Amino acid sequence: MSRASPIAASICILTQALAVVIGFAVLMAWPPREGEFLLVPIGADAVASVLPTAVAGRALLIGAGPLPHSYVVRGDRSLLAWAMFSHGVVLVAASGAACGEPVRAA
Amino acid sequence: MAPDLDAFRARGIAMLALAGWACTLGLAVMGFWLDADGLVPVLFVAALVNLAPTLMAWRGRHDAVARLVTGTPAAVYPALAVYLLQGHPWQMDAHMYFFVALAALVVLCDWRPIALAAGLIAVHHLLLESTAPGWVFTGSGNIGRVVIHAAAVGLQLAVLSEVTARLRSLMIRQETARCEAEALANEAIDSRNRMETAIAGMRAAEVREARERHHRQAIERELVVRREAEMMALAEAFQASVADIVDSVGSASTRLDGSARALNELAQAATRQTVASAAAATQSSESAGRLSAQIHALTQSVTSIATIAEQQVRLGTEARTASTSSHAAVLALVERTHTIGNFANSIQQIAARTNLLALNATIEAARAGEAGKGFKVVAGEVKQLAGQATGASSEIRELAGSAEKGAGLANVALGRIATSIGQLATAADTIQAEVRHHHQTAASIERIADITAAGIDIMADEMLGVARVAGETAGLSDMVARSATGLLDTARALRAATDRFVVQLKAA
Repeated sequence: MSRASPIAASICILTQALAVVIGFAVLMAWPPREGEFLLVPIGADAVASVLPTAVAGRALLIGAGPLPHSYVVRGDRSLLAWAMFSHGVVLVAASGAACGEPVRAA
Repeated sequence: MAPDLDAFRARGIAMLALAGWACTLGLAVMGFWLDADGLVPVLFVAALVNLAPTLMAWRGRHDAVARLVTGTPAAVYPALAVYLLQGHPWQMDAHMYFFVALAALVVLCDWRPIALAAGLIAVHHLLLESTAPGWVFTGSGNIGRVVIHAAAVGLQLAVLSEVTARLRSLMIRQETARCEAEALANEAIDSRNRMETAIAGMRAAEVREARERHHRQAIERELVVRREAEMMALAEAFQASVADIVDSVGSASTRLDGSARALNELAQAATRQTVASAAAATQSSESAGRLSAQIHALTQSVTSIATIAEQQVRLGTEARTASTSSHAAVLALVERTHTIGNFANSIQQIAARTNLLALNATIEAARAGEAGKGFKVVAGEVKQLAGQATGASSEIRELAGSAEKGAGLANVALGRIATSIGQLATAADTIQAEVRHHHQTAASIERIADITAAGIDIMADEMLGVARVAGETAGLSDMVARSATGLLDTARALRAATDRFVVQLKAA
């Protein structure tokens, strides 16, 4: 079997590493069944409709998110997910570190 | 490199890829069973990280890149199980599958995928401990437990690395041993084939040898019969041939005996003549020696003559020199005598003039009368002296003429003497040259006489050797004569033995 070139070998390993990172990122961003969510609007229409849609989904507004026009809310994923997706708002899990809470000391 | 190791690694990659899909299925079952919230992303991630290993297994790759890529799911699948067990009491127990997954990578026979997976496990535990501790341990995790787990992973990495290294080395040695065993087996098979071929050839040769033996026995029997007949004919021919040979040998021996006796007589005669020749040569050598001595004496005599001739030449040269000097002296004497004659003439002229003056003085004294008497006496005396001078000069001229005549005679005699001395010197030179030539000739004759004497000595020695050889030849001729007689007897015995042999052969 011919040996792969160093560049091709590096691309293969980096691709696999990227897949692992993407996997962990998906797991971290996957919204829980219920709890705190970070609502990130994509586009101007989404910015205008993010809060009305959240309220319509019985979400409780907790505060502003770390991103522009984003909000942290508490609610039920089954009530919010499809409505937010239809209005161009991305619903992701709101971890404490991602939402500005202090990181626990080791 | 090592085909067995490569095949083992390729099979390991395929098994790990299949195990990845089995783990995906197991995660799905576990998620449904637990009604886990994040089952969809878990299945997505499980499938995502197993795509590349599956592709590597599909292509049959087993190189370092393939092994590293295949090692990464070992850090992901247990993590996905832990993720699904969030809040469940068994979440901590799921961590043991990290060790199981790392141990499964041993089939790759490479420590590097194990190290990569262990590093990913440690890194994501540390990251999640700081960002999502609930994903790592039930309730609240703490960094101490993470460190303990990381240390366990590191220890397992060390153990598994050692195991994989030993496994790899063992497989390489096994591969080498297997290749050697296969080579030896091939050699053994070849040897067995060659041996079987040789055995088959040997059996075929035995069959051929049996056939040849039967054929040879038949030929031998036929040859025995034929040989007996030929033997009888050969015996008769042999008998006849031997009889002829014996007759020929007998006649040849008789002739050889006669020739040997004649040769003996010739050798004895040659010996006598050679001895006589040697004696004559010895006498000739002595004569040559005496001739050489006499020629040597002659050479010495000629040398003495040459010395005397040289002395004669030297004396002739001196006499010629002395004669030449005497001739010059005589010429000088003639010249002086001639000069004396001239002086005598001058004196005679002076005496004539003096006489004339005395006559004039007498005349003048006569004219002077009495006063001139004394003067007349003096004039008379002068006239008398002039007459005496004239007489003396005449005598001198006669003496000078006599001396000149004698010198001329002496000069002529000296000229003849010088000519005789020159002829004598020339004769002496000729004698000297001839004596020198005779000296060289005598020396050459002396050398030739010496060489002749030496050659005669050698010839005398050789003649003595010839005489000795002739004597030996005479002895040998006697031996030949005796051998001829013995040969004749042997030929007769051979004939008798042949007759007996033929008789016995015919009787057999």
